Amino acid sequence: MSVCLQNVTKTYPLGDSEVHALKGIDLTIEAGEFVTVAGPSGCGKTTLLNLIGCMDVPSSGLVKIDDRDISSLSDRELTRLRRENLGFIFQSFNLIPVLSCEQNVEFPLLLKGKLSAKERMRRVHELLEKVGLNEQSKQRANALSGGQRQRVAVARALVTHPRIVLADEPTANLDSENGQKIISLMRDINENGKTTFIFSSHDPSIIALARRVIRLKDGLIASQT
Amino acid sequence: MRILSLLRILSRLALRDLWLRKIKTLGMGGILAMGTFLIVFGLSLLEDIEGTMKNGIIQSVAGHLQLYSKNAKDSLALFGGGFMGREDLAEIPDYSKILPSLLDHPNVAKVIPMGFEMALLGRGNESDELFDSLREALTSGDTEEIRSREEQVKFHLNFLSKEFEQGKKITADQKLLAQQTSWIAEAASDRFWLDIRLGPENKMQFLETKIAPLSGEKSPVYLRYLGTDPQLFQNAFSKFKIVSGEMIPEGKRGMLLASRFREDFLKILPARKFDMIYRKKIETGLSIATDAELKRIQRELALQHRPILTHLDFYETERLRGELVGYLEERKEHPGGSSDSLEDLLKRFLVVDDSNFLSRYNWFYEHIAPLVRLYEISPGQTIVLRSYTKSGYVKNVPVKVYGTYSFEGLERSDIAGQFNITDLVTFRELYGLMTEEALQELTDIRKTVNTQEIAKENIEAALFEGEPVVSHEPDAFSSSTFVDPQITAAKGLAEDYRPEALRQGLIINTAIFLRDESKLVDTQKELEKRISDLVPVNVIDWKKASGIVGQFIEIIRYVLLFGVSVILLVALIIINNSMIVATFERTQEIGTMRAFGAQKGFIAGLFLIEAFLLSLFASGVGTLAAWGATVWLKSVGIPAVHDVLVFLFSGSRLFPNVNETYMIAGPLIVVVLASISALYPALLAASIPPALAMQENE
Ligand SMILES: Nc1ncnc2c1ncn2[C@@H]1O[C@H](COP(=O)(O)OP(=O)(O)O)[C@@H](O)[C@H]1O
Ligand SMILES: [Mg+2]
Repeated sequence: MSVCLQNVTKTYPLGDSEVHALKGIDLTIEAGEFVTVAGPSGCGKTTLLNLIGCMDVPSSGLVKIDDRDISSLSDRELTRLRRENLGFIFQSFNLIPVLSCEQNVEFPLLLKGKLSAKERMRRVHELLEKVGLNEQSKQRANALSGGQRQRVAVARALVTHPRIVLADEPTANLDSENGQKIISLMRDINENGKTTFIFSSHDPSIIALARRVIRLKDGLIASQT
Repeated sequence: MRILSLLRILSRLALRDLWLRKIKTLGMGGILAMGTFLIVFGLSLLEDIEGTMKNGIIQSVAGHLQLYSKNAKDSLALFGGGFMGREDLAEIPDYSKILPSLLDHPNVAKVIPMGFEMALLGRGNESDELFDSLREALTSGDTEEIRSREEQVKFHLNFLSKEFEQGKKITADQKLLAQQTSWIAEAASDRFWLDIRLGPENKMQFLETKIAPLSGEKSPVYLRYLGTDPQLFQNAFSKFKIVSGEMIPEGKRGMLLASRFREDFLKILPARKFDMIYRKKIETGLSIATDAELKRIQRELALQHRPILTHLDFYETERLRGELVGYLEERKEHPGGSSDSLEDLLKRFLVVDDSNFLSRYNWFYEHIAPLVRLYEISPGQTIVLRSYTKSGYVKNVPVKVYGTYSFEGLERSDIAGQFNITDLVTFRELYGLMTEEALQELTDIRKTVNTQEIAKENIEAALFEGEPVVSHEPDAFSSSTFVDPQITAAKGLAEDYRPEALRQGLIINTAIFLRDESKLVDTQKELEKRISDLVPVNVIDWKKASGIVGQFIEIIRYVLLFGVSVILLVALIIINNSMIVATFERTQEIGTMRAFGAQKGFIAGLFLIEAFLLSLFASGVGTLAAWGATVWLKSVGIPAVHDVLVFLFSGSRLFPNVNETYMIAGPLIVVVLASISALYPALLAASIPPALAMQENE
């Protein structure tokens, strides 16, 4: 699944004026890449990831996922697109606090339907195993440490076998050791499968772990490898 | 399948949310449970009350329908419109004109003619009663009896003179007082009692004209009465029952006193006070020490030695004194002064408190009550009713009291228990309006007596009584009004009447019993139309006919519904508010769910299900509580602690029933309302964009 952006801009209204978060982005990401979007705070990383993640539509230009223009899709269709193809990891983990680790990981599968309870559990535990948290599977999400939580979030993002996983500053709320661990975990998964990873960061030590770096500055691509 | 598994996860999420926010959940749930309880318990209780009250009203006097003249200025209110109970209702001149037409209707089972009015009951005073029995004794010539009565009268005179001793200090007219004192002295002298045995009439007149007025007058009592066909009434109204004496015989003029009326107005005062305390203390369970009303009655009782003393003769006084000393000594309440007078002993005896009341009460009824005349009027006695007739005359009508009655289950109700029953003939006599029939009769009299000069104003006088009835004296009750049967005969009002009289002539209203109650509304309309072709009438249902009390239940219902509405409204506002707050608190969570592919409907559903489950549990608890309360009350009964409640409960206790309709409707309403109030927050939550999951709230 490829992502293609052509001359994409995004403008937010801010009081009486406007904020130009993205000012014309041209970008292609192929299936299976391990990409980081780098740049200082406020340069438009989150905005860019939101567009790629089909959570928002551009003000102008085209965002195409597998050659489909997302601006032409309805909210329902965008939602389905996310459900079927995308996984998300957030800066503050965003686990559902009332659910256990297991239930958090299971949640996207429940939304997807189709699978039996047994199959769901098999997948949930496969992933919890992979992130090394099988033992904590019954614990309430907010009883875990930050690093553990983010690993549960990784498991949740991967449980539906998405084609693209988007992670907006996944290490920002972690110490550097845990941050490194998460990125290497993601990289392992990327190398052992076909999942595309797109994550943003402003931390040089994290950026160094990416295979491809797209640098943003003031809503424009400053450089890319 | 997908819907089901979605619902499953939704409810799991919702339950976990509710669990996580325990305090909020408990608060909202508590209010919802209370609202449900009120709906289920309150409304079903009201329905029970309505049922018993309805039965009480229909089976005591109203029937299913009531018919009365359209010319009435007030509306019919069988249990009183509230004020004095004298409504201005027009008469239906001839019952025989409408009766066949009424009975002709296929749904009409029974028709009972009626008329309500008020009259004054002549009561006389204490001396009158004494002198009447003295006169009887003198006529009989029984020396023992005369001796006993003499003692009684002397005892009474002794009282009077004591009273006058005290009166001396406050009375302005000292000359009159001196004269009256000398009369008392004369009546008490041995000379007087020697003379009275030789020639009674002269001395008796002295007693009746000079001494009797000194005792003062008892206040007149208003007596509300229902004129009807007594036999028909007895057969039609299942709650009617004779308490003492006998039924008014067929074809005889007579009266049945309402048992409650007799208890409340015609019973000797100390007994009445004992009864009042008994009811409040023993039956209702209040305590004299703490209840202000009871305390007041207790103080009044303590002053009631006088009515007991006046009823006793010399020997009875001595005997009672002995017994009372024994009683008080036994309970160590007698300090030992064996020379104490009965008056002093009674004063001590009548001071009751919570611990000695029951013993005093029982002793009073066992030892004192048999010695005194407990009731002013008893079956067999003839009373005189004084009414102000519709044509403006004052009319005295004697009528024999045959017995007392009450309505089953309503014995203690003030509302249902206060009218006395008489025949229509006596009723019409007291009502005193000229009927065509009477006018015809008058013409006949004119012919026979051959007097052309009877002035129009005197028609009634000429027709009904041998002596002028127009009364101008304001103190109309200054003389004894207990009349012996001879006076009745002298006034030319027969004790008997022809049975046809009950089916023709003047009436005010009729009670109508239906064969099929479910057709009440239709029959009501049909009858009104049918009869109005003959005489303009209103036909109303039992509820309307009962007056204010019938509407009372409606008022309670509105108050209850209002209360429930307020509670539910508060609950819904709280739910609405707290859910709106929750959408803001949970923005990131909702955004995350949306990012992972939850549709808007899923998010809305989450909030709706939360409200649904919360209200379902809460209303379930409320319903269960209502059910439990009802089952418990069904086994023990709700005591009617007030007269109004006795009427509403149609008895001294209400045994409520579980009402399935409200047990389903109550929670249903609450659940639906709660879900509706969650609608806006749900839509608000659904509109949260997924991108908000990414936003950091620093
Ligand atoms: N919803 C929004 N409304 C208004 N301004 C926004 C909104 N989201 C982002 N911005 C603005 O757009 C710019 C880019 O923001 P963002 O994409 O969050 O940058 P980054 O993630 O690199 O910190 C910033 O100036 C930010 O203030
Ligand atoms: Mg950002």
